[in-house]
Amino acid sequence: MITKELKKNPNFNLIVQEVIGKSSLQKKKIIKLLDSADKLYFQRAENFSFFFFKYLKKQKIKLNYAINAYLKLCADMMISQKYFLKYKKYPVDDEKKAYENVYNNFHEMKSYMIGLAVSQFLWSTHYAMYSFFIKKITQESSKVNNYLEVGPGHGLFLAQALEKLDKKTNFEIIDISKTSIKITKSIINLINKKKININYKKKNVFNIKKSKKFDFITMGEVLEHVAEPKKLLIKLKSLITKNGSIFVSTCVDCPSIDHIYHFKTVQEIEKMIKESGFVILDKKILPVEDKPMKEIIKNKITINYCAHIKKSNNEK
Amino acid sequence: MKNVDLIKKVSIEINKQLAKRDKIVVTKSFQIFGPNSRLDSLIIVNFFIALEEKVKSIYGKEINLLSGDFFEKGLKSKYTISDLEKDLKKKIRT
Repeated sequence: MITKELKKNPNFNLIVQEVIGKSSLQKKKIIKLLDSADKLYFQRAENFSFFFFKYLKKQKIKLNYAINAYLKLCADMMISQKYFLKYKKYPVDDEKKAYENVYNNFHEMKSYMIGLAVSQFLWSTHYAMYSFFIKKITQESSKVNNYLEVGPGHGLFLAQALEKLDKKTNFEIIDISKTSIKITKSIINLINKKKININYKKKNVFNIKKSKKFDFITMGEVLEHVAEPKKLLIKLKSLITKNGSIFVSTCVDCPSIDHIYHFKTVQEIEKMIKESGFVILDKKILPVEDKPMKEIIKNKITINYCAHIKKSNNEK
Repeated sequence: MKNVDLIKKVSIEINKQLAKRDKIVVTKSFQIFGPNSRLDSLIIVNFFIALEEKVKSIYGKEINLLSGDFFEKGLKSKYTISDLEKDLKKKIRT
């Protein structure tokens, strides 16, 4: 069954075969994921792979580099997990260190972004968050004139926003990493069929004027990268229109080479969201292992979390 | 204590968390990583943490069995109990 579906999708098949040929640990996880995947998953994965190969070719990046970047990401995760379980804290604890080690390091950031892009289709939780985002941006599309994305990374979420939103939409894309912006731009340039004008800026979200307002904000996996995530959420609140909404994702017990803030429970995330003046419209709680929740919590296994939120009625 | 005995002691502890068919069997060819391995990443992480802690309590030495360098060679094909014994020997000695 898996082989049949994979064969129908040659570009994605090539990525899968390369990964599972190199890592037996990944093989088991990927086969499990593919086994339960639907047709839409394969369609999206093939579409991504097609443009991904175009991107690699244009950037003169060999497939082997991309596969190793993905496997390095998986290995870094395991090493960070070991550190976390052994020392009961994340391996990195300040933003400056993460900035120097990752965001400001071109080679590290390039490998990281490419690895993360592949993970979007090879990690079930990443794919589930991606699907959740597509659903939400589609639902909200008619209301969006101004779109902001904070930390676009590999650009896959932005690509979906470009597809679902009107071409007259004003797109503002910001990141503190020049490398991240560069990678996002080079990927998006290949898929921006509507030739929509996109405003990319190397900028800290805190430097956006409060007078600017957006109807939809996407901020995927940024909260855990900052020391004070609540301040960031409050800043987003000042940038969203009255009827606007935000897609936000983060994680619990998820050590990584650049995660600073340790959310210990899902309740802690939700409390912070609510205390920052938001209501949660919809959410997904996604443990990375297929085990009972009790075991997930006890063993501090990573839980991915994403939510669609809006300003609460009490807020201006 | 011989390294293989150290591995056996730690395996007994880790095996308590595992289903019968997934248990670590301390033979030279048992694959920790590899096409025939039944261990998931979490079990492997816990296994290495327990081993490192055992080494620390016996030899008073901090070792790191799961590094970037390890993944370079370890994930490509397979990594067995025999490989682990060799790595332990090297890391405890240096």
